[in-house]
Amino acid sequence: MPITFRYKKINRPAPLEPIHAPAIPITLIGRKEKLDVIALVDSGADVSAIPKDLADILGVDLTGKQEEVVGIGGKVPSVRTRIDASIRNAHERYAFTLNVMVVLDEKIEFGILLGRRDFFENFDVTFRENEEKIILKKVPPRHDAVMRI
Amino acid sequence: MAESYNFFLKADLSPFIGEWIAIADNRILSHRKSLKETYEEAKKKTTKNILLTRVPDKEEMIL
Repeated sequence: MPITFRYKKINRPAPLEPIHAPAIPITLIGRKEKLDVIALVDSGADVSAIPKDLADILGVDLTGKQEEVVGIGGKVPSVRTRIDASIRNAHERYAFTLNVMVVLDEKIEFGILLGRRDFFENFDVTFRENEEKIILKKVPPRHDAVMRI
Repeated sequence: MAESYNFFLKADLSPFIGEWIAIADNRILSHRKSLKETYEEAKKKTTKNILLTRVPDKEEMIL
């Protein structure tokens, strides 16, 4: 069964338009902590990403090779890792492993991003902009999708 | 998580744009620019599960 979430409207000072964010609740499970967070589903992002602070709280393995990813602010140093995660509503719960880039530059301010690779390979994602809803339907992950970033 | 998520959907988060917020007990327990400070402060205020998020201010980092 698909899981449907509503967009979150966030008003901003005039003349800025409100933000309508496809934000979904997700549980991230690290070695130290299990955290409930709200993540932005970003169809414009190739990869999922979290800030280093969050990785530290969760207790995520950061021993992987450091590399650079390109964001709005340019190239930023990061480490790829894997985090167990789950998404649920009142009726459904889906567990999966998320490959994420941990952005090491703590001056870069951003939240939790779920990008196309990995997340979109675990779910068929439908954005219903006119209804301000996002619909997730679990699909079997592609075998060649693992750590393909 | 459901209770905190419903609070998140209904709450006016405009005062917290650009900040991390921690939600539990149907309220915002803490809000800071720093995620670690937000989390640590919230942990002192509740023993329940905390829902964390950053209130986006503009385009997030597209990777």
